[in-house]
Amino acid sequence: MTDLTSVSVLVLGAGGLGCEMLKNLALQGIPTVHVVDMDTIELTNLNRQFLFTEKDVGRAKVEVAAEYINSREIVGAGGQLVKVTPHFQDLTLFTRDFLAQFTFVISGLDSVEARRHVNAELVKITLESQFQKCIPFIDGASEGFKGHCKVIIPGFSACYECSLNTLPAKTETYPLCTVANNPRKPEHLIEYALMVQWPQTFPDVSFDYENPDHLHWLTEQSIDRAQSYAIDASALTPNFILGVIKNIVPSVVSTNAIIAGQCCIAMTRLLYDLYDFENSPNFSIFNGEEGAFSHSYLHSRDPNCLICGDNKQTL
Amino acid sequence: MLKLRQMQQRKQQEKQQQSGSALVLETSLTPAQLRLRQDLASIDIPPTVLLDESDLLANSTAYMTILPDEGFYRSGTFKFSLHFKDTYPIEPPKVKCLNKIYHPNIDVSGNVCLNILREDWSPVLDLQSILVGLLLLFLEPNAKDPLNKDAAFDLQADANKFGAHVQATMRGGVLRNVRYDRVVS
Amino acid sequence: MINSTTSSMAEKFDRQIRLWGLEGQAILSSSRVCIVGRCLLSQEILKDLKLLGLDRITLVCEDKSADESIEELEKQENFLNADGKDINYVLWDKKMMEEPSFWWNFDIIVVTALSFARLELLDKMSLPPMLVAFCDEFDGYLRFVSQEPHFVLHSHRQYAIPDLRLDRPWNDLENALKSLAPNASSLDTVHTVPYAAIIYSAVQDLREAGTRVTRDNIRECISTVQVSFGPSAAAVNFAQAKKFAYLGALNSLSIPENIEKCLSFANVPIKLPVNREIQALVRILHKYLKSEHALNQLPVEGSIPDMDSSTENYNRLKSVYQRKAAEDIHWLEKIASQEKLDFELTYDVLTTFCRNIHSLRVMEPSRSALTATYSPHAAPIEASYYEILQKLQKKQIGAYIPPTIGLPAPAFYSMMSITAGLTVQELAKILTHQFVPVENTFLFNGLTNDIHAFKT
Repeated sequence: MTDLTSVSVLVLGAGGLGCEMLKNLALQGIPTVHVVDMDTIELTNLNRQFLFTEKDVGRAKVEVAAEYINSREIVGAGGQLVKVTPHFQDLTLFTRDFLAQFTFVISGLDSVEARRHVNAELVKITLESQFQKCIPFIDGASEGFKGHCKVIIPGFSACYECSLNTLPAKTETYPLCTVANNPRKPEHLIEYALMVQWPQTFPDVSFDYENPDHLHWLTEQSIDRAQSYAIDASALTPNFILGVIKNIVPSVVSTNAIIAGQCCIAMTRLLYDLYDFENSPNFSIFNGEEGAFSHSYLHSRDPNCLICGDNKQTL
Repeated sequence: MLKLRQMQQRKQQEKQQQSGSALVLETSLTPAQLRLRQDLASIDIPPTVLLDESDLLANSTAYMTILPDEGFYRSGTFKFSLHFKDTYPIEPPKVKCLNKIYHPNIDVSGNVCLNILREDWSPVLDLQSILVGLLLLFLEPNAKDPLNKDAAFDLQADANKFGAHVQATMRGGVLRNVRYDRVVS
Repeated sequence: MINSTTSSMAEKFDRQIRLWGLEGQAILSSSRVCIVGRCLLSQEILKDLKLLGLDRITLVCEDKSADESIEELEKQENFLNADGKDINYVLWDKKMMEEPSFWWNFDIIVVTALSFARLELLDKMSLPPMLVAFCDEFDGYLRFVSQEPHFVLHSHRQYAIPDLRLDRPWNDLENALKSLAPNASSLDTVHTVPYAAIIYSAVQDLREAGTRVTRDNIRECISTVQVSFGPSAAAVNFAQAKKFAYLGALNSLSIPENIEKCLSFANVPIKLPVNREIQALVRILHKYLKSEHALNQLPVEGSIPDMDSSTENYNRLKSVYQRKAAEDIHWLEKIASQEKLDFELTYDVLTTFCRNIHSLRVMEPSRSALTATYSPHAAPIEASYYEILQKLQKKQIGAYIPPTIGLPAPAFYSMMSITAGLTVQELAKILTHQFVPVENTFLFNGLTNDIHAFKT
């Protein structure tokens, strides 16, 4: 029987996916869990990040999450209490030696850059140790009713970088000349104010959406231009504007529970040898907008991958 | 985890049989920098373009100079900065024209209207695509996607007059109360 | 008026309001849910429901717990729902539970761990919509059970077809399209023509020439027009016109299949309030289509997609569609006022209905939680649903069921979480009548991450 007492997991992100992952790991009895996130709690997190309440707003997510779980004194594998260690920091500052202590890394991040960084580090750990060390990297992502789960065995199967070209374009962008000359949608006005009007008016100040004065200025400019182009300005509410400039994506607990659960089940399958490294599909996508669609497939390693490609492996 | 550990052992044995040489990995480059290095290794630079990559490692910025040898902008020197973030190649670099020039698709603040730098960007595009895109902007300025409306209007209305304006502004002349940068030697 | 409580609620639920709007959130916040069974799965469901903003929850516990260890359950309850004061706990009481009126206190019932005999009892009654969820090792099951069809008001289709009516424009639209046509423009202005006008003028050309109006013919015709403007007309609007050329070949007299199906359910008996309201809208739509105003064409949605063009031309076209949409809503309103309804269909409701009319759907839930036929020819998924029902029956008589995979119980914990997430996702879609719920049973396999659905 697999011994869980020495298993340790690093969870990247303590947001919607992270909270669900931490709960699943704790209730599954994983004794050593670390979590890293540099965000503080906001009111808009509370529809899905159930380890936090109104009174925690403003505090570091990882600290509240660790307190919540540690205070429950959950008896995990081998009779040890489950212990969550928080890291309130930028995860790219972890040393490779620090990362190398974990059995698994599970991520529920919203940033492609952070994922690419961790992926590259974990591949290096495998390659530099000449395959003596290998830390599976399980990556979850969710947006609205959709999400994905990727199981990466660094050095063996497709890594995050191998699938970079299949990622959808990050945000909807509009031609600069449209937003400048022929705006038709409220989004065009916001984009112009942000891209062109702001740097022209305040060349030495970078736009900060957390600054109410900046936001107010942007709203005024957009409404002004809406009037001169006869565009309906009623859509230009603070929520809408923030949504456009921060690229806010919808998020709901159900999808997060599904994706976080898939990630943790993938870990379980690896732990208990229920994973076929040759044939098991490694990536899966979920979509709950029309019925419930979940499909998994095998994404092959890219032999020319800049991170894990053949030239990195043989030299 | 038995299966994974066994797979690692097989791989180690395989490696030992192949060669005994140790593996050396560049440890300091980010994935975005690795990708940029690949772009640079395969780039094909025509004589009408200069590429300065000296500031790429320190400040993630490359400079591209376009020296058109035909068209309206012949014999001008146009310098662009290309700023790359860690999101490259998911997101394109931020490209600015460093000279104040009279061009239908470049405004006087240096913003550039080029589809592949915004709405048509894709991670399969690279530094070479941007080079070709910028070069084309000078060989075939496009009045249909204007950022400098006056310039676009001039080009549409009277190509000869537009050409004369381009010549005058490239020498550092004033047009409609705007002084342009001198870009010819 | 927005007071500070509602605006802070709106902020708290902002990320999901971006999915189903304030109206969807208002429905969820006031919905009454009954969860049957006290088990790991139902505790996960309870946690998720509270996060969604539902706080009128009743939990019916069985006198004896499911076969999960009570220790595990209490550990998890303490973790997820320590703050259980909002929950109304009711112990299973045969007399009370045999009374349909008890169940009709709720908008939806979620059945988790329930002994087979009791599930049979529920299945014999005519009850509000029910979600039946099971979880067994790496298998998660869900079935949507209801005695009436389920209407979807807004399915949020990812690839919506723009509602442009280029085959049969009304006068106002025809005039606008003709005056915007490429051949009414000069070389200087042809790039400001929205693609709708380019497609329409191609359709006109084909008709005049007696050529069939197909997507490919429209495309070819657009290319010819574009070439006639010379090489400098290689603009985005022509590229868009070619891409959307199929819009010129649509027939706005043919009612889409999803709407035809809704119309066929216009008169079946329906009890649930929101469902009844949508059904009334469908009946009104039926009369509208036959009216002299509509002549069998659906009301115009009124919003148009972005098209590369000048702001002026775009605004002009947009206002033509908006005017027609307002006119169509007015007609629907007239028909609605002649209906004898015991509820009011406001202008806002009619507007939302028309704006999303093409995404109207009707689904057929399963009539029973228990139907699953086992035959050697049944699809494997249906056979495994049958197997789990068998297992439930065995549990009822206390038979020992050996584990098939042999992992310790906590190893399957995440399956509870996934199954709960899937259940709550369907629940939110059913209650808001937005997005399309499953039709009507599915199996999630945790070993492959695949979902297989089947309909009974």
